[in-house]
Amino acid sequence: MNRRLLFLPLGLVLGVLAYGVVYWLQVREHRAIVRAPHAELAWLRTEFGLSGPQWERVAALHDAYRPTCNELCRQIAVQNARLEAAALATNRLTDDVRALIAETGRVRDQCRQAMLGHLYTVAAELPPEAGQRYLRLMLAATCIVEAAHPIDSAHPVTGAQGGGHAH
Amino acid sequence: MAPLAVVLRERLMQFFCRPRMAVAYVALVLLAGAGAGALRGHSTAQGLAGSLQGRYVQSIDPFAAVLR
Repeated sequence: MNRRLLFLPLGLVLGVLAYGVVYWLQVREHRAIVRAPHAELAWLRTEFGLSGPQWERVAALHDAYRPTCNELCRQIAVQNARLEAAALATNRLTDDVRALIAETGRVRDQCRQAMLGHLYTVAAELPPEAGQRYLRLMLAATCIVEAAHPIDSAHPVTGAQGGGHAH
Repeated sequence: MAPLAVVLRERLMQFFCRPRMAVAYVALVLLAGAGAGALRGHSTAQGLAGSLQGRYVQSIDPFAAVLR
């Protein structure tokens, strides 16, 4: 083969190499973060630009909150299983099912209170603006403020009531 | 009429005869490769950052951990 034609595969190999090198440079830091201990907290560090001491305090708060979170997880799982079993065992709203629904709500409220308390303590460790942004992000992402459908989209307004919820 | 492969080979040889064209070709392929790598890397990095946020939420929200 003519040596000049070698430019064709050589160029392609160089192109693939350039792709690989640039790709690796872009993702290597993120991959290292994902593999590091406390990876879930690394997002906080990069998103809010935490200093070393701030990150250590947030990590300590996170570790302190973990047992509470685990216990609430356990309670929610137990309560959900009980409610599901009771709801499937009947075909009407019994007192037992009512009581289990109320108990599930109580566990949920307890969970939301514990979580909101944790969010406040973490936000207090961040600079004020970052703390507010953290709270806004977390309130949108967690179950503290529940996401619901927009009022008029699922309950069309009827008659001459004007705007508002049509219940 | 010459077969397509022969014509193509001749054209490529003529093309790479000119050093400027050869250098331009290599530069273009390098640039395309680097550009594609940057775009894909950016998208992967964003995906990883998003998954980290999700992991954080799961680690503090018992309902996210149980239900999602």
